[in-house]
Formats: sequence, structure tokens, C-alpha cells
Amino acid sequence: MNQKKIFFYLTLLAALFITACSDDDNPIDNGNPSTEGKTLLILSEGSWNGNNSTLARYDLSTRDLDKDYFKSVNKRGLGDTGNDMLLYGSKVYIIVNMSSTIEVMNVSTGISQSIEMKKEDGSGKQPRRIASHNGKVYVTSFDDTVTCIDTTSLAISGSVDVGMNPEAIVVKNNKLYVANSGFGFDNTVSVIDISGETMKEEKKIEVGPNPVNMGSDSQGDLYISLMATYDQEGNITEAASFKRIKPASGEVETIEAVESPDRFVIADNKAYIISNVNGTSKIVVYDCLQEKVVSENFIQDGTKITNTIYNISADEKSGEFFITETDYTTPGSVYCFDKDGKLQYTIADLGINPTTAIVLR
Amino acid sequence: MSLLTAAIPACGILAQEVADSLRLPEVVVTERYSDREIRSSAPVQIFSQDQIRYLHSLQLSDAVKHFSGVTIKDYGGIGGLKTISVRSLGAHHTAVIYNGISINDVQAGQIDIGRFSLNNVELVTLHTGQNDQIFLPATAFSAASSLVIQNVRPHFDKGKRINGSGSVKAGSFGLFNPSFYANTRITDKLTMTASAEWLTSKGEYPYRLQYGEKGDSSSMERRRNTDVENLRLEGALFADLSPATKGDLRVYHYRSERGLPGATIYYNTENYSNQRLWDRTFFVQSNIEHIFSPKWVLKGDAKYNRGYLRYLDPAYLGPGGKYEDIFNQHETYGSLSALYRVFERLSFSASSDLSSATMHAERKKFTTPTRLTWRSVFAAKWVEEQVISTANILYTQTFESVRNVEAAGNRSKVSPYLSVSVKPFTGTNLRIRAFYKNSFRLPTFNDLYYPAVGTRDLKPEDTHQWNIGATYAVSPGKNRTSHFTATLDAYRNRVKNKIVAYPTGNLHQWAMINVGKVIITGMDLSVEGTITFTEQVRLRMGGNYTFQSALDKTNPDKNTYNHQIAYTPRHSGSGRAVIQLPRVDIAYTLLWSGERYYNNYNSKEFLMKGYSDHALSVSKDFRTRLGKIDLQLEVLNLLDKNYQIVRNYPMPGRSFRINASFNF
Repeated sequence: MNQKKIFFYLTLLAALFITACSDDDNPIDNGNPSTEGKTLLILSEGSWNGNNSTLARYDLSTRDLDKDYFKSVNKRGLGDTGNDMLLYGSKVYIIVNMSSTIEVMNVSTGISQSIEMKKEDGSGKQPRRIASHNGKVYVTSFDDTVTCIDTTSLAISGSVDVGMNPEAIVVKNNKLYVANSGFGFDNTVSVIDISGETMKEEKKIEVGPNPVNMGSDSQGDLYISLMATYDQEGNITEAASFKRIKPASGEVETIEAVESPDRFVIADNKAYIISNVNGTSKIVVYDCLQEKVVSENFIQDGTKITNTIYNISADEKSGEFFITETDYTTPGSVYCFDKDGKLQYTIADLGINPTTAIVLR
Repeated sequence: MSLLTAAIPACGILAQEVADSLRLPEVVVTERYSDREIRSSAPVQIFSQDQIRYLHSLQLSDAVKHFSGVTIKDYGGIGGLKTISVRSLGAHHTAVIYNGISINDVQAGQIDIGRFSLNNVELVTLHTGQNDQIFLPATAFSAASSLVIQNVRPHFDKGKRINGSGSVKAGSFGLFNPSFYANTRITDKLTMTASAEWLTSKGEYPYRLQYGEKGDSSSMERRRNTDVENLRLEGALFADLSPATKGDLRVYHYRSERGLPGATIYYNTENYSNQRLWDRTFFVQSNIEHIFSPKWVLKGDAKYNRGYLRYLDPAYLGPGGKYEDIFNQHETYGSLSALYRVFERLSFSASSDLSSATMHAERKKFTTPTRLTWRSVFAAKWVEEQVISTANILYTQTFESVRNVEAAGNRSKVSPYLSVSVKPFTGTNLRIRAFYKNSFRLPTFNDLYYPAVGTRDLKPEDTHQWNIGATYAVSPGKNRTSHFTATLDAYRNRVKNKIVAYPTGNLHQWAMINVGKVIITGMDLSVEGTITFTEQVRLRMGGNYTFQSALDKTNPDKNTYNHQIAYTPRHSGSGRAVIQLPRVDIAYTLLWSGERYYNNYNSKEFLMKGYSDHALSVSKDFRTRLGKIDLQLEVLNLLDKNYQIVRNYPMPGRSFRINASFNF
């Protein structure tokens, strides 16, 4: 009886684990036993045309900080505008937009191999965001494509045309969902079938102008934030909005309760959404299962972030959140909060436009 | 004071200037250029045509780098943008005055001084603060400092009706630059100058791309999309209408097409940029001056200017697959000035200018802003051997109008200026000088109306300058054939309401705001000397050193508070030497800058190493029956140093240029 119970719990745990896996396709979740303690990697975009994107490494046990870890190890800078970063297997993938490279970094050594993302004429594709699935990573690029890269050979194994200037990419049930921003001139999400040998765009779902950020919950719903669009005179033609998409039916629903959304992260079926209203930014928490805003301000201990909140990353295992802030020109800081919105620690003046953070164990 | 032919840059030019000077009741002393630098109550630095020849300069910006107190932002190569900031006030605060009338850019507010050629330039003068001459259009009083370009004026030796010069410059990276000017005397009272120049350069220079600091990896690359093609046509008519009346009419046309290579992006240098820029300027300007009596002189200036700018990115990855912008600017300008000399030492002037500038863009619903600026100045000047003092008060009123939307507010401001120079000892040529100037720069049309970014309620950006200095000149030796001058100035500047782009809290929207406050403390030291060994062997040297502390005082809570403003070296300097030998002249120049930060946040990851750029040339002239032939071979960046002034915009390495000119 007792054994049965244990077995029951084990299968439950395994099931949960598997769903967690298929959600974020992250096979390193059970950690590396040889690495003592935790290490934080934080990507900073740098300034546009500045060649000063950095990857910082913060050892949480020794408190050692290397603001430009990538360069320290590789004897070369990361490049221009590191937009996205993903931990998959034993490698960290860094998408460097203006340099048009994907840096594939060995987690334990920090040594990186660079994949060139070039068009036929030698000009850059400008890769933007990354997602992983089943031994492959998928990268959106501003040249209106999604590229598939095999994570064993690190060779480009396919490419598919999508809408204009694709941004966020999400994998769900053997399908890729790609937000086609068109810098405000596209309004679709491409649905791409990746079950076969080659990628195929199945359809485009119309979601409204300028879709940029996306996430998904455990029910299979997609969440998307659409950035505001402007006319030539700079007046807002369409305000930013937060929407839910039911991929099966293609039904799109605006969540009015979330005002002026920007980037967001979904953890434990809650969306933590950066919201910029009247020059101040905060984080709104939206429960994807209850389908309502559960907190108007995630930060509970009165911590003031004076600059613009730039990005939020979640570490599902510890329940911690990493919030980055920026003034766009000088180095910004990273704040680590626990799941209750209490500040754990801050790393100040880390890099220009700090964005994604990941925890290595 | 003896006028030494030895130290006079160009006899003919000087004679011309004396003649002019005597016409104007304002100026009482005949001056050598170096004397003018010494006597001025506010710092003035002058390069004459003869000095420019040895400064290894193709473009105006190359020569201007040798002035003390200036920071040239140079994006590298012939086509790269070059702007001048004097004493850390920013490029918007430097006026560029071309043959007496300001060049105005209402759109961006800063002038690319790389586009000005030196081929027909007689004098380049930098006034920090204010020119001691007070008989100027009101606009010439408005900027914190002014860079004055004076073209060669026709001057004829006895019996000649025509003279001029033709030259060809050719050099590394496909540079080819023929130019020509000719002066003719049409009648006794009418002379004419025509000038033409063409410049083409492929510009694909090699450079080392450093992927980090020294010791990190690097690769040899070649700058791409750097081609430039410029055409300049100029004409001028000078008329002595009567013994008391003279006038001129000038026409200027410039067109250029260039590639914009962009920053050198790591791992993405090949075919990185295909962006292009087309640039066209046309203006016609005129000046007429009449001496009514030894006490009264009147003059009028007028100008019509049109500018065209087209930018194209044919490889833009956004919608449409390309990005194009076309802007047109029109400006009409008129000025009336009067000079009244009360008695020999005291004169007053008044001037009133009206300018109307409009900007058009080929965009839907473009606001098409127009700015009417009215400036009036009242100035006074006291001149005697012991004391020179000038004072003025400038009143500025603007009227803004736009289509479709609300216009920015009209501005009215009063700005004072005061300067004094005292020579305390009659026997020693030592002068103590001081000035205070209040000035401002108006928000540009980009600041006010740029889509999404422009902010209508911007105030002008204010500056205050305080300067105290000393100048000294000495001509030692029996024959006084050698000559030395030195100037030392210490200053403090304050910039208030600095216009900066500021994120509004919304990731995708920036706004221009009046937030910045900068306090600049600095020092400029210049020395210059001529040593005459024999009649045929002479050494001319000059050098300067600049110290600048330009600290951000905007917000004590911000991480950049008390940090040095980006791209401002604390220490910088330059040097030059020409040795004139019987057969050849050998010239050497040095530009040197200490380390500086490329970010307003001063930490070591944003530190840029200092640099030095040496150049050497050998010149020789031949006299033929038809005229004088000059040959010059220049080696630029002699030590082949890989350096950047603006980060990620490398400067060319060692290169060569050969110049041949024929003066008839």
C-alpha cells in the first residue's frame, strides 16, 4: 500500500516533470551534480552599434562577478546586441542580432562556438529570438525567416519563410508559433509544423498589429503582447495590448485588464508582465488558469526601480525572478526577487540594457 | 612693432587686409595674424593659407583638429561625419560662418565640417566666445564659439589681370581631387573669382578589428561602402562701386554622394551597410557696404540657401525592404548693420538679422516646420594700446509655425557678452584677458518635431562661459627675425537645460527633454614660434595642450553624476613644425589625445585608449616662367596606428597623398 502510494507520487512527479519538459524543453533541469552551488548568467544587449553586448557571470556562492565573462573566456567580445539567450542541454545559445551570430557556449567551460547567420549576399539575417525542441533550436530572424539548427552538429538544418520581422517564438505540441511584428506593419502569428522532416508554415493567425512577445501556459493557450503602433508623426495608432490565443480554433481574445504590456514571462501558469504606464514600469501578475489579474504589482517589499524595467526572466526551479532595468545608455542593474516579490539581491551597473538571466546549477 | 616679412604668412594677402582694415573705422591697428591672436580679448586662433598647406589637411576638419580646446568627432574616412565641439559645449554651440554669413541647419543643428574643402580657403579662424570685431551681422554674435571660413579674395600684382591656381591631389584609397580657381579683373572696379573642385575616393581602407582589448583576438578587415564623390562650384563677384561703396555676390553649389559604412560590427563586416547619402547645397549670398563718413558705416547682407538631403538604406529588413528619407531646407536671410565711431578709440555697432527657415520632408502629413528668427545686437568696443574691451547684448526672438499640428513655443532671450584685454606694462608684450559670454542654442527641428521623439515644449540649451587668460609675444635677437607667442587661458563653462534624448518609460518611445547640466573646467595652452636661422632657413613651430574636465551634474542620484562626459579626453594636444630649407620644406604634424570614455558612465569597460597621429610631408616649389609649381608628398598616420576617435569607426592607417599645384 505504502509502496503503491510512493509509486503514485513518483509517477505524478514524473508526469509533472515531463509536462514541464515539454513546455520549455529543458533537459538540464535536474542539475549538474558536479557543479557546486548556483551561477547566474546575465545577458546585456549593449548599445546599438556599440559592439558591447556582454554576458556576465555571477557566482552565487563566492559572490564573484565577471561582467564580461564571455570575453574573459573567449578572448573576443560577444558582439552587437545580444537579444536572447537559452539554456538547452549542456549549452547556452546566445542570439546576437546586429552581429548576426549565434554563440553556442559550453556551460561548464564557457568556451563558445559561433554560428554565422548570413543571407546569400553575405549580409546579416539579424537573428532575434530562440526556442528549442527535440534536439533542435529554432531562431527567428529579421529577414522574415525561422532557421532550424541541429544542436548536435550545430549545422543549419532548415529554414522557413514567415511573416515580416518575426520576434518571439514558442514551441507547443510539435508546432512553432512565431510573432510577426513587421515593425508594426504585420499582424500575424505564423503556425509552423515541425513534426516532419522540413518545417512548413501551416497558417497565419491574425492577432492584431505588432505582435512581439509570446508565452504559453500548461493548457496550451498562447499569450501575446502587442506593442503600440505609431503613425509617421509619432502618434499612437494602436495602443499596446495583451491577448490570449487558442491555437486550435485560432480564437484571439484581448485581456483588457492588462494595461500597456511589454515583455513577460510565464512561470507556474502565471504571466509576469512588464507594464509601462505614464512613465513608470511595474510588473502585473496574471493567472492564466483563473484568467484574471491576481496582482497589480509583483514587487511586494517596496523596492523602487526608477529606470525602465527592461526584461523579466524566471527560474522555475527556485521560483526566483530576475528583473532588469535600463536607462538605455548607461549600465543597468539586475534585481533578484523571490516568488513572493521580495528582493533577494541586486547586481548594480552590470551592463547596458541587461535582459535575459539564467541560472546554472 | 616691426612688420617682419619673415614672419608674415602671405605678403599679398596681408597687404590686402591692411587696405581693408584701413577702410573700416573700427580697426585701428594693422595686424599680423599672430598679433591678432595675441591682442584679442577672447581666444582666437587663426590658420592662414600658408599654414594650412603644412597641416596635412584635405578637409576643413583636418585643419581644425589643430586648434586648441576643440573636440572633433570624426567617424573616419573622407565621407565620415565630422563635427566640432569647442570646450565641451557640444557641436550645436559652434557656428560655422562662411564668408561672413552663418551656415544654418535647422534640422540637425550641427554642421558637418568634413564637407568643406581647403582648396580656395585663405583663412580659418576659430573664435572662442566672441570675435573682437563688432561690425558683424547679429547672428555672428549668437553662438558660444564660431568657426570662420574666409575664401581667397582676388588680389593682383601690378599689371596682371588674371591669376589663380590649379591643383591635383591624389592618394591612397583611390583619392583623386582636382581643383581650380581663377581670379580675373574685369574692370578696375569689378573682379571675379571662379572655383571648381571635384573629389572622388573609394575609401576602402584596411583596419584591424579588435574583438576586445589588446591581447584579445583581432582580424584584418577592410572598410566597405566608403565611396565619396563631391562636386563644388563657386563663383564670386567683387565690386568697388565707388570709393566708399563695395559689395560682393557669391554663389555656391555643392553636391555629394557617399556610402555610409556604419559602425564596424563584430563578425558582420562584409556587406554590413549599403546605406547611401546624397547631399546638395546651393546658396547665393551678397554683401554691400557703404562708408558714409569717417564715423558711419552701413552694411547689408542677404542670403538664400537651399539644402537637400536624401538617405537610403536599400537593404533595410523592415517593411518595404528599404528605408528612404528626403529632406529639403530653405532659408532666406537678411541683415543690416551699422557702425558708429564716436572717436578714435570708441565705436558702437548695431545689427539686426531676420531669417526664415523651412524644412520639408517627403513623408505623409509632415509638419513642415518654419522658424522665423529675429536677432538684434548692440555692441560697443574700446581700443587703445593698453586696453581692448568689447561688450554686446543680443536679443533673439523666434516664431515657430507648422502645418497640421501644434507648433513649438516662440522663444525670446537676451544674451550678454563682455570682454577685456589689458596690457599692464608698456615695455612687455604681455596681456591679461577675460570674457564672459552667455549664449544658447535653439532646439533643432529634429528635437522639436521628430516623429515620436520630438518634444514641442523644449527650451533652448543655455551656456555660460567664463574665461581668464594671458598672452605673451616676444621677438628676441638683434634683428628680431625670430618671433614667439604664447597664450594660456583657463575657463569654466556651464551648460544648463541640455537637450538629451530620454526614454519616457515606455520601451519604444523616447523624448527629447531639457535635463542635462554640465560643468566644464579647462585650460588651453598654445605656443607658436618662428626661428629664422638664415635668410633661407627657417623653423616654424606651434603646439597646444588642452585640459578639460566636463562633468555631468544632472542628477546626484544617477550613476553618471560627476562623471566625465563621453568622448571628452581630459588631456589632448597637437603639435606642428615646418622647416623651410633652400631646396625643400619639411613639415611634421602631431595630433594627440589622452584616454577618454565612450559612455557617460566612466568605468573601465568604456575606456578608450589615447592615440597619436603623426604626419610628415616634403614640399618643393619650382618657379617657371608661367608661374609657380608646388609639389608635396604627404605621409599620413606615419606610424600606421590603428585608432578610433568615435568608437567602432576606425580611422585610416598609414596613407600617402601627393599634391601638385600650379599658381599662375
